[in-house]
Amino acid sequence: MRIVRQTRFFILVFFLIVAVLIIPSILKRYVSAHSVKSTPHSDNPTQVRKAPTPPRCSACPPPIPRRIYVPAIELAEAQHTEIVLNSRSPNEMEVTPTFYTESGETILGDPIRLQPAEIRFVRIDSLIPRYHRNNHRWGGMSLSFTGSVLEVWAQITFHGVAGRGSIDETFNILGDQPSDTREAVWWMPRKSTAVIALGNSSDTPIQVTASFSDGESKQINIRPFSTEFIRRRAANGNKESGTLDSVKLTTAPASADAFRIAGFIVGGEKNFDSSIRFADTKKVAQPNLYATNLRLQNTEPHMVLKNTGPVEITARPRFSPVAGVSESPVELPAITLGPNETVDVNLTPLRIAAGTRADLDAVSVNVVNSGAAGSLIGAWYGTDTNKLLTYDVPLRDSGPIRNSTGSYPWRTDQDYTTIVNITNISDHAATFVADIRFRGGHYFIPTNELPAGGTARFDLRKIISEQKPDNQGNVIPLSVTGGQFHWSIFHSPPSSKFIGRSEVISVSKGVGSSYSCPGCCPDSGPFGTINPPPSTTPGNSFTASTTGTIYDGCTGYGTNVGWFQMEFWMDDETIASYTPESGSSTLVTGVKPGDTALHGSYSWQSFVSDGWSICYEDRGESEDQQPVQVKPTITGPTSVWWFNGENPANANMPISIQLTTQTTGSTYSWAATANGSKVILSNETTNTLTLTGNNKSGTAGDVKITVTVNGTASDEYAITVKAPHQLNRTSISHVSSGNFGYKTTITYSIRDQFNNSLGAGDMLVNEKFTTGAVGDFPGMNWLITPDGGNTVHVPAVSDVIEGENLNKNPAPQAPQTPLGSTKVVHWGQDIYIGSDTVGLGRKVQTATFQKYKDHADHENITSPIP
Amino acid sequence: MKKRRIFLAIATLILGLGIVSVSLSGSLRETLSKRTTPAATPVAPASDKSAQVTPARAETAPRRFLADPLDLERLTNNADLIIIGRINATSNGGRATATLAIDKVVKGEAETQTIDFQFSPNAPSATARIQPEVFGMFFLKRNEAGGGYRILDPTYPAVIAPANAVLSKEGGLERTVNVVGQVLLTARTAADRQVAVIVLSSARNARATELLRQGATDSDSVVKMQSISALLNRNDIETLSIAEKTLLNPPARTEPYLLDNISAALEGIKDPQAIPALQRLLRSSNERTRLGAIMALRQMHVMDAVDGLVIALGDHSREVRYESVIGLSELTRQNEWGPAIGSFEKDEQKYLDHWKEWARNR
Repeated sequence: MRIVRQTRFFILVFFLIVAVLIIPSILKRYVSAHSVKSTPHSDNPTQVRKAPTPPRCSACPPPIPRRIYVPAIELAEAQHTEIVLNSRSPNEMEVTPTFYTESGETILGDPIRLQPAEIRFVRIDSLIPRYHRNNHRWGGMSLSFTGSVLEVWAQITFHGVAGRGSIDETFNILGDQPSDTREAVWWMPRKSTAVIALGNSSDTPIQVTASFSDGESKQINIRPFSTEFIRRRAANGNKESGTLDSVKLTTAPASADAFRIAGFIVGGEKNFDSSIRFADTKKVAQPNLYATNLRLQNTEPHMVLKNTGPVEITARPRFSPVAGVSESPVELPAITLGPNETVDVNLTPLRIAAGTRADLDAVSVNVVNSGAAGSLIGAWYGTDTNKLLTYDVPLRDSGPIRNSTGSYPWRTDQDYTTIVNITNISDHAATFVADIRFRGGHYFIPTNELPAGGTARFDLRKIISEQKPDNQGNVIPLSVTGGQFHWSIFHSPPSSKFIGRSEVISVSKGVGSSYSCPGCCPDSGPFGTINPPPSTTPGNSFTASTTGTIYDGCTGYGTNVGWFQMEFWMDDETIASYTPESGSSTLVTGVKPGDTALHGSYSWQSFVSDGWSICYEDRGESEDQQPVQVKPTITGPTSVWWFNGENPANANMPISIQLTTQTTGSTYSWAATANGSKVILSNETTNTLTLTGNNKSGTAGDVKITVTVNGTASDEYAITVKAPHQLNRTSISHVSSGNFGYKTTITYSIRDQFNNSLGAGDMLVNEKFTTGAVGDFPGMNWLITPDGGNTVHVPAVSDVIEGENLNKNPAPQAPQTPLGSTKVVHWGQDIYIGSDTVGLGRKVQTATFQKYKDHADHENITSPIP
Repeated sequence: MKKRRIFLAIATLILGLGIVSVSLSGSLRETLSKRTTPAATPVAPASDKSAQVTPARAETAPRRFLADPLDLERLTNNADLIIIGRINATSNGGRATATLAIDKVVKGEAETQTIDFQFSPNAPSATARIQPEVFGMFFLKRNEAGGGYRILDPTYPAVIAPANAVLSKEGGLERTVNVVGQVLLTARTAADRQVAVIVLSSARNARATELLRQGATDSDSVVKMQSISALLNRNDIETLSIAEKTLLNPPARTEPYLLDNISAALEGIKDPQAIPALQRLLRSSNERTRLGAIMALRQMHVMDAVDGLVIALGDHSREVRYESVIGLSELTRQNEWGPAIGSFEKDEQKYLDHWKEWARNR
C-alpha cells in the first residue's frame, strides 16, 4: 500500500515539474506566433494588456496506450447487445477490441477506425471474429487505443431485456486509479433479479468481498480476464411492490484497478429493467448527490438512498423544474439515515406537486447530505406507465470538473428521440457552450448562462426541424439523424459545476438509454482573432468581426465558436474610428487615408489534463490586432470609348472621362497600374484625372487606375475602354424601284468588342472603297457612286443601294423570285465607325460590294477585323 | 329593268376596281414611266411653276449610301406636317422646291389644296425621290426662318401610303401606322406589301405589331417572312413556332436571305417563354440560326437560359461559343471570364474550360 502511494506521489510531482518547465516555453512560443506587438492608443493606456495565450493541448501528456473495459457484454436475460463507439478525437482513431469469455479466454478483434467525432452504433457480435461468435459464454471486453484519456468512449446497451426493455452499461477507464471499495444501492421490483458482473481486467487473479444489505457476505475469486456473475432475486411478497438492496464490494488495493463492476436489474414487473450504478465512495468529490431530467409525468419514480458510513446523516432532496427556472423548488423533509441504512424515499409530496404543476413534468434533484463526502449514495428510477420504459438516471456526486462536460451520442433515426439536459448545480449562475456535431458539419450553441439550479434542455429533433441557423449560419441538415452532442462549462466563475445527461429513447425498440459520460477536461478558450478587415475609404465603414475557437483540453478537438467578446482600441483614431469599444464586433469608419491597427483583447480559460482525471485550470487575457488601411476614393465613369483617334461627339460614348478622388491631400499621383497603354492620362497630379481611351480593352475592366494621396494608394479602379468592333447584320430587303430596277437595304447593328450594341445617340459612320469597280457583266456601263460618310441616330446603319438607270447595260430588274445570280459589278468596301470622313474611325467591317442585275449585297464579309 | 340592274352592277364593279387600283398603284414603290393604270392620272403641273423640272429618271445616277435605318416613330413625332399626296412639280430656282397636291392631312394643318416644300436635290433618299408623280406620306418640317416647309429627313422624305387612306381617330404614330397598314392589308401587289412591312417594322407600337401579325399570314413569302422577322425582333413570339419550323425545315425555294433575316431577328426575343424553342434552334445546321438563338439566350440574363448557354459551349461555330461564354459571364457576373472577342479568339480554350467546369459544378 505504501509503495503504491509513493508511486502516485512521484507521478504527480513529475507532472508538476514537467508542467513548470514546459508550459512557459510553450507559452512564449505561442505568444510570439499569435500576438503582435502594438502600441496602444495613447488615450487608453490601461488597455495595454498582454497575457500569454495558453497553448492549446501542447501541454497535455503525449498520447499513450489506453484501455477501456466493461465486465459484461452478454446477459442471459437480453436478446442482443449493442455498442456505441464515440470518438472525441479530431483525428482518425484506431480502436482494437478484445473480448473475454466468462472464463477469461482472450479473443482479439479486428481494429476499428473511427473518424473524428464519429458516433457508431453496432451490434457487439459484429465485432467478434466470425469463428468465435456464438461459441462462448461471454464475459467482458476492452477497447484499446493510443490517445488521451476519454479520447474514445463507448457504452453497451443490452436490448430485448425480458423481451423488450434495454439496459445500459458504461465502460471503465483502466488505469484511473479507483479505490478498493465500490458501493451501490438499488430498488428491486417484485420478481426482479439483480445481476452483478464482477470483472477482472488484469492477467492476475483477484479476490473480492461482497457484503449485501441483508447481511450476506461472499468471497469471490475472479480469474484473469474473467467475469463472475452474482444473481440476487427480489422478494416476492404480495404487499410490497419492491424492496431495496445494496452491496459493498472490496478488494485488495493492488487489485483495485483491475476490478470493475456492472450491475443490472432485470425481469421486474411493469417492464422494469435498469442498471445498478456503483459509486467509488472513497473517490467522491463532495457529499451531495445530483441528477437531472427526472421524469415525473406519467412516470412512477423511485429514489433510494444509502448511508455508507458509520455515523448518522441527514439527506434533504430538493427538486427543481428542468425548464431552466429554479424558482419554487420542491423540497422534501429531511431524511435521517443511520449507519449503513438504506431508504426508499417517500416521493409522495413531489408527486402531488407534480400533479398540479406542469413545470414539474421533469425535474432535477440536489440531495444535500450532512455527512462526509461519499457517505451518501443513491439511485433514481422512473418507469413510464404509458411507454413501459424505465428511465435509469444516475444520482451521484458532482465529481471532478470534467463532469461539467459531455460528449454524448445522439440519434433521431426511426422513432428515436434524443433529449439532452444540462443542469447548473452550482449555487450561483454559470455558463456553458454546446456543439452538436455530425458528419460533415456542426451546429454551435453559444454561451448559455444558467441560474443556480437551472437546466437547459435540448431536443435534437426539434433543433433539426426548426432549421434555425446558428451564429455561423449553420443548420443541421434534415437528412442528418445522428452525431455527437458536445458541451462544456465555459467561462464560469470558479467552483461552478454542471451535470449533464442525454436520454435516447425509442418506444418501438424499447430503448431508454442514458448517456452522461464526461469528457476529459472542460474546453479551453476562446482563442481567436479579429477577422482580417477589408480596406476602407474616408467616410465609409466596415464591421470588424471576431472569430474564435475553443479546444478540447485533452484531444485538441477545435470547435469554431464564431464571434466572441473582445475589447477594442485603435492605434490612430485620426485615421479610423470605431464603435462600440467592446463586443463581438466593432464598426470601423475611415477618417483619412493612412495605416493604423485595430486591437482587440479577450479573456480565456484553459484546462490542461494530467492525463487521467485532474484538470489544471488557467485564466488569462490575450490580444489580437489587424491592420486597418484607409484608402483614397476614386469616383467617375467606368468606361471610356475609343474610335481610333476620332471623336463622334456622342455624350453617351465619351472618348475622355474624368476620375476624381474625394480625398483631400497635399499631393496626388494618378497611375495606370494595368494596361496603361490603352489609356492616356493627363492632370495626373491633381485631384481630377482626365483619361482618354487609346486602345480597346481585352476584358471588361482590364485597365486599372490608382490614385495616391499623401502617400496612401487607393484600390485599383477598373476602367473598360470600349470601341466599335463589328457589324451584325440584322436584315436585308430588296424592293423594286421604278427608276432603277431595285433597291436593296442592308441593315447592321453596330457592336462593341463584347458584341454589345453601342449606346444611344448620334454616331458618325463612313465607308471607304478599297478597290476600283470591277465589271462582272460584259459591256457593263453601270455608274459607280463615290464613297462617303453620314450620321446615324441609332447604333445601326443601313446601306441603301439602288440598281441602275433602266437604259444601262445590263438593264436592271426588279428583284426576282428567286433572286437572280447575274453579277454586274463589284468593288471593295470598308465600313468605319466614329467619323464621317472616309477612312477614319474604327474599321469594323470589310466586304465585297456586289451588284447583281436584280439586287445587291455585301459579300465576303469580315467583321470584326482581326 | 333586269338588264339595267346588271349594267349598274357591272359599272359599280368596274368603278370599285378602278378606285382600289388608284389607291395603291401610286405608292412610293416608284412606278415605271410606262405605267398605264387608268386611274393613275398624272397630276397637272402647277401653271405658275416656270422652272418646273421634268423627271430625268434615266439620266439620274442611282444612289447608294450609308444611312440611318428607317424610324417611322421619329418621323411622325418630329414632323410638323404630315401629308398624303402626290408631287405635282418640282422647281430648282435658287432653292429646290416641290409642290405637293394634298390628299389627306395626317398631322398638322394645311389650308390649301397644295403645299410647297423645300428639298435638297442632291441629298440621297432611301424611300422616294422628290420628283413629280411620286405619291406617298410626306414628313415636313416648318422652316425656322422664312416660313414654309422643308423635308424633315432627306433620307426618308416619305413612306408608302394608299391614295384613299382612311385616317384613324388616334393621332401620332398610331395614325401613320394605320395609313401604312392599309397598304399591307389591301395592296394587290406583293411589292407594295413588302414595302409596307419594311415601314411597319420600324414602328414599335401595338398596332404595328398587330398589322405585322396579319402580314405573317400573307400569301407572299417575302411579306410573310419579313413580318415574322419584324415580330421576333420586337420580342413578339406569337409566330415563333412558325419561325422555328421554318428555320429547322425551310420550305423549298425559300430565299436564304429571308431565313437569315429571321435568324438575326431571334436576337430581339427577350421573353423567357421562348427558351425551349431557342434551345431547339441551337441544334439547327444553320450557323446564323444558332447564332441568333444564342444571342437571344445571352441577352435574357436569366438562369433558365443557362442550359442553352452551356450547350452552346460545344458549338462548331466560334461566334456561337463566344456568345455562350460572354452570356455566362454576364449572368454570373464573372467579368474576368467574359473576354472581349479578340481576347477570346487568342485563348478560347481557357474560357471554354472554365465554363465547362463551372457547368459541371453548378
